[in-house]
Amino acid sequence: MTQEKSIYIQIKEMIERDILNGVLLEEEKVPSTNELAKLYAINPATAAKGINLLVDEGILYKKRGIGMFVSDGAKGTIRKKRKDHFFDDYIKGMLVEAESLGISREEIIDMIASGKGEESYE
Amino acid sequence: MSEAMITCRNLKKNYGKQTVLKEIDLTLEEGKIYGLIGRNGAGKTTLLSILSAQNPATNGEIDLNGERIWENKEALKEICFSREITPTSSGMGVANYKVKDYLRIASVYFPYWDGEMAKRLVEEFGLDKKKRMSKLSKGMLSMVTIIVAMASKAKFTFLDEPVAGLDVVVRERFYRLLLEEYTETGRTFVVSTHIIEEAADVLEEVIIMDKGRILLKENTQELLESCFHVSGRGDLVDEAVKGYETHHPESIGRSKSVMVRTKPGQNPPKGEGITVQPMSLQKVFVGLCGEGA
Amino acid sequence: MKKGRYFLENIGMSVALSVFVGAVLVAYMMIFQIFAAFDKGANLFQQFFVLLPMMVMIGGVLCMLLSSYGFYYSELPATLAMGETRRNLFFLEHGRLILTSLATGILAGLTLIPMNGFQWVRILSVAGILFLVLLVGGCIGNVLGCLCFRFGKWGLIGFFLICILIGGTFGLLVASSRKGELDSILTGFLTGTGILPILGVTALFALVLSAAVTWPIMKKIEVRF
Repeated sequence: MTQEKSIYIQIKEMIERDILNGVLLEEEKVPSTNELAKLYAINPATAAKGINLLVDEGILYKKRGIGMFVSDGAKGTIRKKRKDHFFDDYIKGMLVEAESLGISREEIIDMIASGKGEESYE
Repeated sequence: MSEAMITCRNLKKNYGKQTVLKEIDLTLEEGKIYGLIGRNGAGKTTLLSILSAQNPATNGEIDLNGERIWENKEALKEICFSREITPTSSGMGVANYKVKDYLRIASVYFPYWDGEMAKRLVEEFGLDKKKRMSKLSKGMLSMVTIIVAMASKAKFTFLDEPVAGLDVVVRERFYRLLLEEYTETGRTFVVSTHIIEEAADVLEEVIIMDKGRILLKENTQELLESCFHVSGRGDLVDEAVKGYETHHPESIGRSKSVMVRTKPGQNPPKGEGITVQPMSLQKVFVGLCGEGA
Repeated sequence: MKKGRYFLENIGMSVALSVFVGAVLVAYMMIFQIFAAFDKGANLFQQFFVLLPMMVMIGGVLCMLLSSYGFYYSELPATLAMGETRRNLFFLEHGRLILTSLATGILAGLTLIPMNGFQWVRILSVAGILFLVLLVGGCIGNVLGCLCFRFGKWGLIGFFLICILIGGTFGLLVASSRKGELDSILTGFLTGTGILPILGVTALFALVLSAAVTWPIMKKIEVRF
């Protein structure tokens, strides 16, 4: 239902995406809050909030005096988390919309099975 | 406490019979970027003037680390309020100074003044130092106030409408400059602005003023997370927002929209047939202070 | 230390301007040997030149009036905004008035030396008169500038009321005394004696007036760009 997300959530998700896609590897250093702040023109405290959420979830960890690093197994953690939330994040809304349009569950399943739209989504 | 802060309690300011500021309680902490937002006439400039001892308060005192700042040379070294410079019709006034003379006065009074930075910025902005400020455009005058604010290196720096008259490219440059300076030095900045959405990302805390009072002072992100725009059919919306703090209701025909502000711990409103959306800082402000708020 | 240099420059410029005016005044006196001409009972043409230096002196006073105006409208707001205290500015402005008038007077007096030799009485009188007149003018200008800045148009009106009040009082005093008093005052003025104590009292009064009027206003003055 929400369309915009708080910036620090966006930062958090950007880092998660980078980890999933291999742009950031495990045990690699992530940009500091100041670097992120400068890069995206946001307040460092906001960037820190996003980073801290990732630390709380165990996706990042702090090496004192050096910075934030991607935890071992972070990729797996993120995958699992997103998988657990997949229904809420993507399917719930779709079902509500389909219901308001009068599209039955069977029709949805057919759509999925036939990959309606022809393009393949990676 | 080792952390510096500016505090004021029960601040009041009258101009003749008019009360411009009423019952202001405020604490400005070290190392934050605050946004000061309010409609014209809300009292932003007056508040900043008093917080920097440029104007006296009718009631209440301003303290820096517990010491009064009024007529206090030492305390005022740590505070910089770079005011808007407006050319007067009579030709007499601060705008009469040449840019270099104005900057020179600043360098005399701010003990941590960074002349190198001032020089760099003058060059970057393409200002003619020898020109009288009354002959500068609005945008260039804003640049001068920005330079004074940045190069002062004061612990608490206030800017009043710093981007007035600046085109979008220079405005973006300002926000980056502000962030660079902030991340490097941890100075406290209070920026009052009408261009809310642009500045929202840069502000850690936002202070909203309305009619001489402080409406709220909150962490920007937390404020935005607590405000929702609820819309849909009138009766469904009314049902869903029962028990919530609402603002700025608008109706067109059968549909209605309203702004909801949740209390700490309160979940966002839910219901059939209604749409609940997050709000931008600008929309929150208009919701709280606009017509029909 | 930077601040000291800034203020010295400031005062220096004011002094330089006033000294320039004073020098012009003295140049006139030197060129036309005014003192000698007046003693001989000179004619109207020469008397014109007697009045001319007085007008230059009035010009000097007006200079000081304007400089006070500049002080309140430019320097005060700018320095206050940067963190100067009102107390410092109050003392600075009065200090500047005194120093500028004094420097001008002394320099003017000293330039009499090559012309008249070391006639200390004459030199000191001229220096003293110039100093005191400029001081009085400066103080009046200070009051004017301050009232105008604080009260705008009404300040100007209030100022004129004060002037009328004081001027009227003095006028009444003079008129009620012996008839030839005004003549002898002017003569004394130009020969450089007799007027000094009166001027001295006037200057003192002007200083007190300036301080008494401007301090209550300065104490709470607001920054206005």
